[in-house]
Amino acid sequence: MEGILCASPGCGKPAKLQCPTCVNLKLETPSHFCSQECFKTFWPLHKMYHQKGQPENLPSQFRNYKFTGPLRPTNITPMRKAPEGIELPDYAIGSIPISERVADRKNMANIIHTPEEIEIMRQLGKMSREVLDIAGNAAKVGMTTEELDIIVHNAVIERGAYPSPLNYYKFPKSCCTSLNEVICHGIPDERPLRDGDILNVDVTLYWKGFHSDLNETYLIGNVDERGKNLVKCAYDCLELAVAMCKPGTLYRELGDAIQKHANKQGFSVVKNFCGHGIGRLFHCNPTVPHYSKNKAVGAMKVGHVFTIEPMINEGTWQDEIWPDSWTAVTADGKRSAQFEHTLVITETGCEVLTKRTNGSYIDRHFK
Amino acid sequence: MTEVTNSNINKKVPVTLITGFLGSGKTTFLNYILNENHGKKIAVIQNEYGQSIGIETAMIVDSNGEKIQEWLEFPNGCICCTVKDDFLQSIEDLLKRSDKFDYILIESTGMGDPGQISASLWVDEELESPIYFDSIITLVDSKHIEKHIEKSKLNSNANNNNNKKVDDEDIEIHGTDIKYYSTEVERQIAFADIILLNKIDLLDQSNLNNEIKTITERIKSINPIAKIITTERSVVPLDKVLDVKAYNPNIELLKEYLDQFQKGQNSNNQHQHQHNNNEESSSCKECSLTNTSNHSKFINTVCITEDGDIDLTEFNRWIGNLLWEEKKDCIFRCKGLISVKGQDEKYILQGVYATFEVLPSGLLWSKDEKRHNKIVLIGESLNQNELEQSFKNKLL
Repeated sequence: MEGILCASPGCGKPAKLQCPTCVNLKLETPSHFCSQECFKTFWPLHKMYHQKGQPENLPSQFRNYKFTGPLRPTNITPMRKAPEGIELPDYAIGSIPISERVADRKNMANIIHTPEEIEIMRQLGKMSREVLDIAGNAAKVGMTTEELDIIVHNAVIERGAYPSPLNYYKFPKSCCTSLNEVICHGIPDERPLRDGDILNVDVTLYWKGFHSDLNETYLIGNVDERGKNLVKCAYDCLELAVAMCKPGTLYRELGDAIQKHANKQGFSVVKNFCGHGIGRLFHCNPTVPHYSKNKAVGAMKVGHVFTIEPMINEGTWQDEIWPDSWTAVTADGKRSAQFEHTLVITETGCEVLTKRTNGSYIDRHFK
Repeated sequence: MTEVTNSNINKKVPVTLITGFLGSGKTTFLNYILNENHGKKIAVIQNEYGQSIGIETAMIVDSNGEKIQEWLEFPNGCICCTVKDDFLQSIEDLLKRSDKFDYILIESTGMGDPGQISASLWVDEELESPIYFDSIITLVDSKHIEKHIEKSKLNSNANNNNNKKVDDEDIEIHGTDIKYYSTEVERQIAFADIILLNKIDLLDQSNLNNEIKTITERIKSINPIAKIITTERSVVPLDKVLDVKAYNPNIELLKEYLDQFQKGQNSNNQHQHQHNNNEESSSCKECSLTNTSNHSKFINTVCITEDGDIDLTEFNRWIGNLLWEEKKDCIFRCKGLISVKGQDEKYILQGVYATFEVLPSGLLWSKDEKRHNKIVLIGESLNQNELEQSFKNKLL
């Protein structure tokens, strides 16, 4: 409760107690008080939060939806468009990635990329890293994820690229922002970031015919120890998986190592979302599961480009999709953290195309 | 916490894939399941192209223009629906229904490749799916199987005019491109866990035992590890063919399979030589010496038996390399008992097409037992020496 102030209007003292009803109902309303007196005085007004149960302006499709955790959706602003002159992927207008569908139906083999193609993806990887770092540095208490989306959108456009998520199967925004119990595919909206949140920002750029995909989870303000451990665990899971990547390694081997590490820390691994091949297509073969004992097909070969993006949960691995048909949340409402890189297999191992160039994540967040 | 719990397989609904050639009795088998009083609640998902049950199934279109499955209910509690191609979607729809089913049967049409479908049905155990893949059952028309397998040979043998005439009649009956007939039938046999040798009542009853023996040997030359059951009019005690858990890492079951291979191998040991694809069957002296000859010239079985231990990662990579690179699309099934370095448990290999897994069996190597590996591979034009040598190189 450190740093939280009493919710009684005009009190301003540090909070020491929390309303038990708010805790039971998993409400995100101001529920901390400095003393029993303040709580009793403010009670007639405070209890109205309990009656409502849910914020007033909940989008209509969420009516009667039983949320798994405290997070609630807010308003989503109209979709932005890429300006003239930006090269568009095939789904940018019609929302359906036709080339991906075709490749999927044919169960297309893993693509061996040429050195020229890899050079484009190397430059693109650097650009996408810059964009993610801009978003990561901007994310602060009080800022909305919508504002972050504007920052990402503009940073992508400035670099002459297209924000790949925009209108991909009608995804309405230019990046994914996944807070707390959101596993992935959170839609940027008008909810302000709060002290103690963990926020994943997932950025993908499309440029010169190729995609590059990466994400990181940021600690917003003061995150509790368990939250920090969760984020650190997700970070380590990605690191150890990347270290295994070299010609001959089977894609299925990564999941065994990731799950072993996560379980050891008391965390679970999301199974319904996987890493994926990437290149001229946003998502293609191979499928890269993060859970153990998977039967994924394929061995790594020089020139394969794919993502690894373990999602690690505080509680159950099971997920549930919000009625917005995008936001994937944990089935028990507990938090989830994720990190992602795009990498290419080389003769001697792999090259992380989206690697950090400006200081380490651990230095910034954990030291 | 969340130590991932392996869900209890007994609570899950088994799924069996039924394949079989036109005229093999698949229709009769499915009708038997949907209409007889066998005491099980079975859901049958039938491919639209099959249409074998001959029931008008209305496809309902909802307001979004999407097709909704309609399930036909039968007096014995079974239900049936017809789908275009998305079996998994219809299974999901089925599981959303409030009524519970003991079993799901999926009929794949004569032209469907059982390998592709079974790979999508064989869901990772970790995903805790409410279904599990039980087995592939292939129905075989024992009266016509010889001819079906014979066909590719006859097509390339212009001298055999008499037989060819008989075949032409068959072409009319079945009405499909005959060139792909034998390949298809052989592949269906090669993929099977269980083979129902159907229509034995139509065989020459005065010489029944010999006829069955000949056909069984023929089938074993294509797939020596499948369980073969003879039936009349597709009537078979369901307990014998359903819920066999063919993909469980069950050492007893594997032993049964491998023992069958031993038998098959012995009865066909004169056919262990290799055939090349471009080799005319008549030019093979070894085969022409024997009475029944080796007719599955495209499909063969390799069995590797070696003492010693192997590193689990190395073994996975070796099998992966065979299935995905070196023998890509040419290995249909694999099964094996594996001795993994540093593990007291016996490990089991299971594979269908490009999908495979190697899992501990739960049973230990006993002290007086020699640790060994035994791997059976069924596929197209596999070379015993080459594969054996390749495996030996990986042994520790």
